[in-house]
Amino acid sequence: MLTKLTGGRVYDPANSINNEVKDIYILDGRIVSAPSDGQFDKEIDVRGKVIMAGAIDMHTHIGGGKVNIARTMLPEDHAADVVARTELMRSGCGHAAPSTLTAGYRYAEMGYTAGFEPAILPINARQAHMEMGDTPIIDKGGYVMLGSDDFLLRMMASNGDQEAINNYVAWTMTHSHAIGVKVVNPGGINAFKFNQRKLDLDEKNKFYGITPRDILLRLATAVKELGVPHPLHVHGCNLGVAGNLEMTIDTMEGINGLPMHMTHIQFHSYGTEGDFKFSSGSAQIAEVINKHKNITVDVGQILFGQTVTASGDNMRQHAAHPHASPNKWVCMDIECDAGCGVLPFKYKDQSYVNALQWMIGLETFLMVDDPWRVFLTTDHPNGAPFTSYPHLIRLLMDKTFRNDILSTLHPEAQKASHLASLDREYTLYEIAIMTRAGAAKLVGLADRGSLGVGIAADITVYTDDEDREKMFSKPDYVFKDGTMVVKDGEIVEVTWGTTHVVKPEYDNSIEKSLKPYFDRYHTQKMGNFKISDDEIVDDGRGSLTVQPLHAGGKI
Amino acid sequence: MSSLTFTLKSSPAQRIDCSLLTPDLLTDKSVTDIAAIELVTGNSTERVDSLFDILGDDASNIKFVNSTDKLDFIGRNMTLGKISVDGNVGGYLGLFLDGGQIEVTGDTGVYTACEMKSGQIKINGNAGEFVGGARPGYKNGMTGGIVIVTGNTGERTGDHMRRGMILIEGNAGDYCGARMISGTIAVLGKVGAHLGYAMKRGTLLLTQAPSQGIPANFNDCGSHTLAFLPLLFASFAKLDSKFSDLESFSRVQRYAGDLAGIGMGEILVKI
Repeated sequence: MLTKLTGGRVYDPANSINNEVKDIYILDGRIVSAPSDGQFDKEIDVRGKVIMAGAIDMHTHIGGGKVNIARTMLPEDHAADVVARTELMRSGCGHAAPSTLTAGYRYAEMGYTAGFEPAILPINARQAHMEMGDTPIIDKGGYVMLGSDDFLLRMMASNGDQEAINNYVAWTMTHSHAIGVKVVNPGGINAFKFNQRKLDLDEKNKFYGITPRDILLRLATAVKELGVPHPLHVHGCNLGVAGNLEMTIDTMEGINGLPMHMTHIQFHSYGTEGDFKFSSGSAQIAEVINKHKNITVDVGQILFGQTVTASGDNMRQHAAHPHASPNKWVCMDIECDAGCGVLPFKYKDQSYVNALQWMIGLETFLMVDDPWRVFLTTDHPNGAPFTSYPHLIRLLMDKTFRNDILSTLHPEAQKASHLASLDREYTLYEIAIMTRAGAAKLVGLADRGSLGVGIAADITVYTDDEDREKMFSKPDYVFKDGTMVVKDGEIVEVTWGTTHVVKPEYDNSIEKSLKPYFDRYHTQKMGNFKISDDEIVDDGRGSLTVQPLHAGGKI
Repeated sequence: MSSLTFTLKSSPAQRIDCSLLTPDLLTDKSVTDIAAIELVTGNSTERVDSLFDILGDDASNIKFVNSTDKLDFIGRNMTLGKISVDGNVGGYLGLFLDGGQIEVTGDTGVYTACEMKSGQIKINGNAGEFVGGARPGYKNGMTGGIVIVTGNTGERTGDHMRRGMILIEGNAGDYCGARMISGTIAVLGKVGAHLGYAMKRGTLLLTQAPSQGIPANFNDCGSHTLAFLPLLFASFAKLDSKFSDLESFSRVQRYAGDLAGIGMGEILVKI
């Protein structure tokens, strides 16, 4: 059936279209060019409305072991936010850590059509994919977590060549069905097991003698040489530590021009100035980002209220546990792969530190010049639940609104920030870049994030409203692969998205050393570790989309 | 004015959530309105008058007659008035109770007085597991008020209890006072295994030494004369309980624990 969306104002940065009135045609889940005979089956009048591609959340914790720990640990999060079933949708619950089904519905209701889980432990990949498989409507995918796994550190300690490391990375990505590689507190999670409680960029792991800098260079090289489009996704050293600013800059400058994505950079932009020994480093950070074109960042904005922090960084989560609110927390080692830490947290607007974190995040958004290299995240649920994105968009687009809130925050924090003097307001075009076109390019989705001909018809239609929070929380229509799934902000049909992966090539000889390693140290045999395509396709409800590798990769 | 009485018409096949039938919620409601309230039962709802015969009009004094162990959440969030139950009740009797009185002639199910804040509950029978406890996954159990059980209590009495008193005239099950944060549990009968397991603070007052001995995680602090005990017993005088007739004593053997944690809890055994 050929559907025509008539007369919308199109924002499609992937094709440099900025607020042009244009008709869009949808056929069999794809965007097609105007039919030569002018005939169509269905017309939807969207005159005067704003049309963008479906939004893409490139960093959101929606699957995997730690989200389940958060769900289990926080019955109060569920009791306070219960969603009854309807004829169409299943019941669910949870504000900070919603159930899989509720997460999918809520994303779609906000016009999001894809979300990427950034911390899939290889050994837990099956569980993560199962949970994402139960997340309706949106497309999914994940970044596999390496860098604190004993196999890699052994290879590096024995001076294994880059070729072997590339093979290992590609093998792990392929068999855990990942689209990128993430490194969390490089080597720090492993060092935690040897009783190190902090690890600086050039500090050696006591057992392996490897530094975080070595790990980053090796993995960033592997990702580039394999042709994986998503750059190495880095959660840096010393998250949340006052004074981590210099190390973050060193990390970005020290990667020698290799592509690298620094995630939730807000948590890594802290100085030690002022009476509170805690200050904003966003100006220096933004300057380095602006200068180094190989660096992309997402912000990890915090917003005030109750949430839960779930991270693979058990070293930093362990250090933060006295701040858990309510007072309960979990830290664990996970086999030879890594670990995780989950602690509930309440960000308070009258806390100096929390208020300044809020300002640092917004300063970063406003001072990084290129919207193609900065992405809108709250590191869901670590900074705030993803449902607060419309609020965040308004903060970026509306200076008066931003400054009104700013004036109510901790007074000393206001003095420590120059946020009030930043006049920039994001435009709709820039929001479309950072949440659509830029995100698709960053993750490596060739057929998403655009409204060009041949691209999957993930489309969001909004009514233009001065109140951007209202506008972005309730789209008029959301189409997922050509099917209308949301009308007037309500789900009207439940579909199931695909799982995006890449399949980098590798030499199978890596299995000669992996098999005995699995036999000796892991709880699974190597054969069981590999997730088959069928497990994700399931009964046909899920599907796999293999995204192309960069030219320069092996294929 | 006669007490508002709900007589269960027949033994229900499914559990019934009775949390809407409290003095707080029914005051100022006409009998017709009350009859039309929909109660959740199983996976659907039913009108109050299809489940109960309704008599009387004094909503500050509610009675349940012919009650069975299928009636859950009686007295939830109640802050005033009285509920009397003739028969057994199900789980979560007096959940979040913040005032008023509940009295049951039979036995109660799990989580009696769960996260209760104030008021009084008297059970003239046995209570199930987790009396005065916290809901699964929550940190604080009962934070005030008095629970009197004339019979026995199930396992994990006072789990995560924060404040208030649980007075047990019969025996307490295993793990009595487990994970207790503070408050007082007194037992006239026997106690089960793992007494005070992971207890932080608070008092377990026993009139007879546990037959299996004191847990290894508690340290014997010797015998003491504690002046507060006669005062505590004096405060029991107004209660409708065997505790009001208890002969006052002040000599006890004191054990501190659980030493695997902060060890500030105590087991006091009458000498």
